[in-house]
Amino acid sequence: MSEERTAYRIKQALNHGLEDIPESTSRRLAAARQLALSRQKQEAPALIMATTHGQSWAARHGDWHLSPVIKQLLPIIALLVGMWIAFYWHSLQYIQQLEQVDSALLAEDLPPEVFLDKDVFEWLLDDTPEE
Amino acid sequence: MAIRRHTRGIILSLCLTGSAFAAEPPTSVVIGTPPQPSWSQLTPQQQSILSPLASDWNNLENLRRRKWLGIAERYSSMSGEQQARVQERMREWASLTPEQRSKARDTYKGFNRLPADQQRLVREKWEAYNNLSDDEKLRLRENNKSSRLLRSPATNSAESATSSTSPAAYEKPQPDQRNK
Repeated sequence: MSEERTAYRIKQALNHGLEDIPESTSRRLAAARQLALSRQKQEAPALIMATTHGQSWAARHGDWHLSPVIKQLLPIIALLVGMWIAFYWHSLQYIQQLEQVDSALLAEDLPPEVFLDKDVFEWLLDDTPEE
Repeated sequence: MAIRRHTRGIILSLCLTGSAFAAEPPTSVVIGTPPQPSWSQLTPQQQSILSPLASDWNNLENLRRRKWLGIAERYSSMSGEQQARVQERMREWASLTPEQRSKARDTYKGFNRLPADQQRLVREKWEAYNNLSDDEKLRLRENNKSSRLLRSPATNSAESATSSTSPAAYEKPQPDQRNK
């Protein structure tokens, strides 16, 4: 009970003291309050990114932040890039196999026309002796 | 004999098994192939190796350009004879339809799986077959087994008097018709 009474007295004393604060000090306090409020508003929409110290990237690097549209597009862009990398890898494998077969076929003793006509090729392949 | 026929059946079936390369490449491969250089952007060495394709190069799809650039890279590791063959056949090969190239690749892969002695026999038969005229080729294929091509010229000469299907070209070789 006595603590509450003490707190009340301190509050009264502070309120009373406010009347005696010089005009210049009052202006500086108001400016500091506005500055604190403006910084608090800027930090609120900043992109939160995981860091080792639990501190956001934006918090450590100033006022950087992403617009909501870009934030929505990021997963789609990431998906498209991932798909293209998979397609690129597939195309590398496919073309490498084509190169291998075509270069061997073109360098072969037998001309490509042997392999173009399957009937002739199978006839040549047939090693049945004549009766 | 039965084992031999069985083996031949396996080999033939290997030749006829499904296509590893479809006539048209998968869409994912087309999308995944980045733009390739135009003819003027190729190095002088690449232009020299791929010179038979010079007039068609800028009309080729990115995928085929990339493939030919890969073949140009392999070119330096080939023997002189192989390099000459590749350049000689390059233009003709590029002018085939995708379906024809796809079939030829599959047949070639079947040929590559054959034992070396069978590959040699096919080469020998082809050499003899290729010396025949078109009519003789057709008659021989319709009436005879290809093993007839491996008979000695003397035997064929002796038989030519009695058989209308004898490969007379053994006695009088015809010009090379491979590039027709």
